[in-house]
Amino acid sequence: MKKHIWEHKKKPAEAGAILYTRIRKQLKRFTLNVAFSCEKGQLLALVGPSGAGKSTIIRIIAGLEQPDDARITLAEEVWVDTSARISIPTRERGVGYVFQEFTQFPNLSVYNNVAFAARNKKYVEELLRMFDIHHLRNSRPGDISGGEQQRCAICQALAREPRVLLMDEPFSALDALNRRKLRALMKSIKRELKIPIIHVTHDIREAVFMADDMLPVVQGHAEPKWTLQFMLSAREFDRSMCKDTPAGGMEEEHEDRALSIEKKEGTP
Amino acid sequence: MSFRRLAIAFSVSICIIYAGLIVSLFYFFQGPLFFSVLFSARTLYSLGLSVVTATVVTVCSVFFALPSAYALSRYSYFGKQVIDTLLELPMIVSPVALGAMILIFLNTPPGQLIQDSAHLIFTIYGILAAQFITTVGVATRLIKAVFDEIPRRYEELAWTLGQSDASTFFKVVVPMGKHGIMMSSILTWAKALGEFGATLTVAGSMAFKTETVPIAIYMRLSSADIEGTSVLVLILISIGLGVLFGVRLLASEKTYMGT
Repeated sequence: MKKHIWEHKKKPAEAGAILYTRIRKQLKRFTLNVAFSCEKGQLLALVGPSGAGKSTIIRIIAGLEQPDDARITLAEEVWVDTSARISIPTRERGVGYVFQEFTQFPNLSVYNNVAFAARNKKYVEELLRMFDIHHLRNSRPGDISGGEQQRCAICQALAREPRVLLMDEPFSALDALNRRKLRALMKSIKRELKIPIIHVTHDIREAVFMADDMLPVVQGHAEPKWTLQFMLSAREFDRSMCKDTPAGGMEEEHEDRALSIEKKEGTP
Repeated sequence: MSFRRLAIAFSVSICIIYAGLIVSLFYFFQGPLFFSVLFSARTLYSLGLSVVTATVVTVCSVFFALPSAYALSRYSYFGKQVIDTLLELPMIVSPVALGAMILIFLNTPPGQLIQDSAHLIFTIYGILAAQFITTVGVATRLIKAVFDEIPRRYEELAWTLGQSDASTFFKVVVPMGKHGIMMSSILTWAKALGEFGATLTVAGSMAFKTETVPIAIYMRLSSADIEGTSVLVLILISIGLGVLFGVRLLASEKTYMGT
């Protein structure tokens, strides 16, 4: 990892930027009611079952959905304050957003997708190399694999030099090997990015592996005090699942085997 | 007979009806007459007028239809359902009735203001107005179907990448739907080219002035010139089939460039 890649991204005005979020929104089956904060360089995982309201939370942070009552701030900047009728548009929030589905502009090449909102072309080149898609720069998203498309999506979000990175189950549609590689890559670069990262996942193992902090979200309700207990029990739960359940254990075993095969092939 | 064979038999029967009509044109076909009618000054004028007016009207209709279709596809606003229903007006009302409605409007005080400044009745501007009113609803309906097919998440991605609504429309939505928009434009052009009822009602049928190809066909038929009529119909069919061939080529691609 070349640390100098991230050097030009330092913005003194945002040193110590904290994303503070308090959201309430009436959904069809329950009320979403959460409050949390995320510091720069920290990866916060919103963990919970499908339909718990996790994606809605980051969609509201990005400005793609409107809350009933909310206050969202980044450092001193107010993004949403329903009591003061403030809601700045998505384009002005400076978020990087990685969608669950493969969402690359199909009519643009990989390079043009990544460079779509980039200010620094050199940074685009570095990202393409770092995410190992430099050789695909002229390919269309429809012609590359799902794993490569999601790498492209993360590069695209990072290339605009976001102030907050939001990822909505970005690895859930990937095969085990690609999922593991991208988890490891994101874990290794999260500190250098120096921005708050919110990662939505239903995969406890993924959250335990990547996150600095976890927020369990169940039926739209988050309990920060559960986090430590939840993490510990998740580890235990995960271990027991891997040991007892054939499906869980098999997946882990396959991932390990796939990685070891790849390492052997990569060794000269 | 299996259902598959029955269904195919129905589709073939439709083909036989249309093919029979086209082939019957050749019953009165005379080679020398074909070229003398085709290259006569009156036919060339009608052809030129039809192509120019249809092209101008298509550009205007698509220009109006693009933002209108996007609004109908993406936004919720007061009166949206009414507008959506009114788009069908040219399809519900017969073209002659639509032309009559234009004439009636031009006899009202606001319509008279337009008539005094633009002189629509019995002029080329009348042809443009009649064709525009007939095609703009169709163009909007066709382009809306293209926009409906583009998943909204591409626009959301563009917004997160710092694009405004307008730049998202021009840089993301239109390029992604360009094949569908081109197909819609070609169909709009074909509709404008074949427009007869409203054009005849508003602009009349003056040779070398407001006589488009469909009107020329009607005029030749009125004077019992079957040979001349069949030549003009063949010309119109050739243009129409050429356009449809173009549409088929474009239709082989997706209406939006999805993955």
